[in-house]
Amino acid sequence: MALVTIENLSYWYPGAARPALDGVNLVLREGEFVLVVGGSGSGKSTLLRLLAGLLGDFYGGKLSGRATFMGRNLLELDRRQVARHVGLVFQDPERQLVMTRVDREVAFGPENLGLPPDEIRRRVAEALELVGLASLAEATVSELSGGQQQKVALAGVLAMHPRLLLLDEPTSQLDPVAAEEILHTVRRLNEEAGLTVVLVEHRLERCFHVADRVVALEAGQIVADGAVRDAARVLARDGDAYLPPVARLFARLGWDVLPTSVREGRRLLAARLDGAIPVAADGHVSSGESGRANAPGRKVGTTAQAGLPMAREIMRRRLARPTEGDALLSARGVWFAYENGREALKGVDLAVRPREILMVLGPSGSGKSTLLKILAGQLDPGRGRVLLAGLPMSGLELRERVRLVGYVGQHPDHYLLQETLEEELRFTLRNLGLEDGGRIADTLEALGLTACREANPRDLSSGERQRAAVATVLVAEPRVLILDEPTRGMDYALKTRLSALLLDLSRKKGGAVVVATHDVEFAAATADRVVLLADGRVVAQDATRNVLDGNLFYSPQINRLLHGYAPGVVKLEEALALLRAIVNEAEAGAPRGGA
Amino acid sequence: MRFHPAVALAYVGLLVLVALLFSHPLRLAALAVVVGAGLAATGALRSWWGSLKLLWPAALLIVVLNPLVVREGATVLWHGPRLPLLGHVGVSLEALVFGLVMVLRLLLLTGAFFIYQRLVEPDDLLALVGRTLPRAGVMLALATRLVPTTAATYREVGLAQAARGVDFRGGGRMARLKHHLLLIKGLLLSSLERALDLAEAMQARAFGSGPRTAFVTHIWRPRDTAALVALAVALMLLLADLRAWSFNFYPRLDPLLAPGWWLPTLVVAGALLTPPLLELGWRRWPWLRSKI
Repeated sequence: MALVTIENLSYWYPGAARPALDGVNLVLREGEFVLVVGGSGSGKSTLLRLLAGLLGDFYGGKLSGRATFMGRNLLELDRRQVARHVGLVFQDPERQLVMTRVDREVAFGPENLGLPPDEIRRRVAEALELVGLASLAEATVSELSGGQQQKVALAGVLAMHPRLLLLDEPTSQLDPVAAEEILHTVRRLNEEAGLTVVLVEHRLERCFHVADRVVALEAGQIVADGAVRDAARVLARDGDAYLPPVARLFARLGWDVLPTSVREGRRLLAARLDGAIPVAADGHVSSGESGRANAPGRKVGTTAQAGLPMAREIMRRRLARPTEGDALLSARGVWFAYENGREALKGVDLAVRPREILMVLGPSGSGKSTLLKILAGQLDPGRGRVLLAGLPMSGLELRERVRLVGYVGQHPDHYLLQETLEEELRFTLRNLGLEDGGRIADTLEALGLTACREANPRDLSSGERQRAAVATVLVAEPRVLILDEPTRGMDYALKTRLSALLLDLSRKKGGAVVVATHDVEFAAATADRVVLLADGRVVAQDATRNVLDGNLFYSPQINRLLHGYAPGVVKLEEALALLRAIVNEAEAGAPRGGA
Repeated sequence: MRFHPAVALAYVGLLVLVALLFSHPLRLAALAVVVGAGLAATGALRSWWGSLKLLWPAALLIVVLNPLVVREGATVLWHGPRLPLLGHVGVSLEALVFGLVMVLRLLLLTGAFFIYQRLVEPDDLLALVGRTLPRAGVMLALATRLVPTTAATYREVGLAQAARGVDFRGGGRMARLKHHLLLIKGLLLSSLERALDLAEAMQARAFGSGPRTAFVTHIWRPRDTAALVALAVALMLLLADLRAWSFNFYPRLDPLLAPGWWLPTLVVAGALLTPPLLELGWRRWPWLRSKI
């Protein structure tokens, strides 16, 4: 049964020349789990706001076409009716929570619907139980972790008993474990309560496999719509930016079947390398060309073990990086406690060398941001020292420090207060007593922001704003660049671009880069070394492939896919090289009669 | 402390009332014991003590300035020189005691404020006024959340600008002023954006779509009745003997120890101590917890 029908719908934000949604046709059926993918500015969030009845009511603008919810015109339903049936969870938990106490926050929606107090009490208890926060009903919202706050937001929406649950990048600010918990809860609601779910998410590795259907948007238009496997095939043809890494790997290998989860990928890999009959799109075995490579009698161990040493050696040579020179920036025995007594860092030791990208991973509240602020000289350690090129950071004046160490925090908007982007960069130079001498043009060019030079920074898209904030510190050409959660809300293309920029900074300009992130895939693709923090302590610090290998959550999909086949592989390119080598070798060595 | 918010409000309200209306030094001192116990029982003693860092200059100013400018006291302790504008300065016992009582009152009021903060959550207040003034209640909750968020944003914008070489401490006055204006601009921009996001989230959750109801979680327990009875006793005693709780400082101090002063003081203090004692008993004595 169709829950929502959208016919030829276009929408323009007030004053916009280009429509944010352009001739959209979409039918959402009861009980579906739909994943909406697309680049920044492709219209994903606008689509969710349309479904939540916010476009006309909250944003204004111009709308054409038709949208119905349960057969009634969605655009003419009054707000209470829409809110009763459609729930929307936003990206940033802090910006959607109203009350100070957990149970009251959950009760806020039902109160607005005018439900009787007894009914509200029952719904609040049930919603908190569903998201696993019953024991924190009387806790203060601001004292919860980001993941818990997002669960409170979800419970607040669930307590309104929606039929359609909309989620706008609900996990983009969460660590892998908290993100997994949220998605697991949503999946359970979909499976057990039959709730229809529309999820917008950039971290495809987290959610592609939980969806029934994928809708891809580009410039406000739907470019792919279908069951997950069908959509994956279409998306692979149009470039693989909207595929999770595991599907991207198989697409680049040119295999017919694209897995959407690690489990499926491992099954496929085992079947293919095991000499078994190849697996068809529906997961069942069938005959086909790949049978040649997997002739009877060849076992996976034989093939993989024969292929691995060679491929590993190639990889080792290709990926080995010299850890040259002394540390550019180092922390020695750094402790830090906040005024409320919470110890955020407990004796942290780390160092980053020239030409090196160091990524700091760890759950929310593990001390990543505090560590970065200390490394940037914005906070003084309670105990221990921070050394910049062997000299104590505390001895440097503000200007000197900022010239040498660039720091961009979690909120790029806090950096952007001038009228134009050019003025922003000039402001930094003026503060530091530096001449332009082409720095502004070079920085904007390097960050792909030349076209935005005269634009007001606050008018830029979120990805552009992130880069603009980086530009405001990069224009001083610091030796060390420190970034706190730079990939929040970034799509794959933007992340690839950021990754290239960081590599360029470190490799070509000899700088050091330190990044705190929840994005394990980004870390795997970009970092030379990874530091894993937990409860203010360093629990691992080593080459990326050593730290991100063999974990349940803190490993990229590729690593989990190849677990047991090729330990230590964390990058897509490594996996591609390895699998191509293995397949080539297997094909070369396969008995001719096997074809 | 888990009293019903109405009881908690009545308790804090009575503390404030006594501190504001009455001035008898010994009786206020007895109230100080009550407030101290309240602070200890609610776990607010430490943060109240921390706030004294900000308060002591004001307290010192009251103690020093009051005797110097007030000349109504008859018991002069020190005759000072003649100063321009002020004329003859001197310190009288009455003015000194008055200054000290004012400081005590200031400490009591701040103490009561900290107890209020611990006892009454903004959401509780919302629940109390929710049925009659729902919008005002939500505004109150939002405003309460706004204070720490705004402070955090102010800090973060400052750090972001410092990362670009803005020196908030160095430079001339004009430069510092300019930098702080920039900070305020950043704060305003971020607050506006946050307000829009929050408004959208509230609209998506049907806020303003029609009449609201209120979610009531509070349970009236025997300890609420006990505390309310104690507070009523204290109020009645105060009202019955209003004059005894007042005190004349000028031109001469009233006698501190009027006959029989201690009994009503002790009873009122005891009654006002009941809520903190109940809290203490509730926490320390499982048997009592099960009964109240």
